Amino acid sequence: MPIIINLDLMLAKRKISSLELAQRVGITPTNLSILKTGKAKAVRFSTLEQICKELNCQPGDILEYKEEKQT
Amino acid sequence: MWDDSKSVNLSIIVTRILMAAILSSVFFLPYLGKMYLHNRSMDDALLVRFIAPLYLCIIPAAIALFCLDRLMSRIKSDEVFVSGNTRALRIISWCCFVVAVITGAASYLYLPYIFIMAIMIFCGLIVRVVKNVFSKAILIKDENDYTI
Repeated sequence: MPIIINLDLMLAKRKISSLELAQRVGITPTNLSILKTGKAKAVRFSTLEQICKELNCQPGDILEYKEEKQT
Repeated sequence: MWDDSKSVNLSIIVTRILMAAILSSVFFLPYLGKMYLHNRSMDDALLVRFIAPLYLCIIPAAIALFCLDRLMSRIKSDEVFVSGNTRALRIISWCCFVVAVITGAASYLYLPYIFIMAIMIFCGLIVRVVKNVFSKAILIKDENDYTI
């Protein structure tokens, strides 16, 4: 998928665990795991807003676009 | 008070009664066939050509009812928009078309079978459309489940 989620990186920088972030954002650890592993098909702005608020970062710090190379 | 749960249970019960009726018809079809022919003052020699297509139809009917039972059991377990249900609906629609082919061919031997053929084509088409709806619903549900 062209959109890469760099959540693990931000979690390490802010020294917060996935479980703690999930609790603070108000989503289940399962859903956060779906987001982290790139299996999510869409993210609500409200969720993105909460994540950025808790991690004190910009959406661009978590979301990255990388064009897929055509083989 | 009537509710969805009771409705599902009723569907399951009726499906299973029909399954039992279809399977027991293996033994009762010759007798019922003879009764039908006597009531219409038709020759007993027609019995084989009259009930042979019905015996052939028992197989797809039993398969369709089995799939219907599995479908209703999954719905009872709140597994509605799952791939197993679209597979069951696809099989049921094909069973309807198979019966339509059998009765269509049998109409050459006994013309009223043509009406069963028409009805089964219609039923098969309706079930096929419902299957398409379920397939789309699964895609939408999947999208929804993976929206964080």
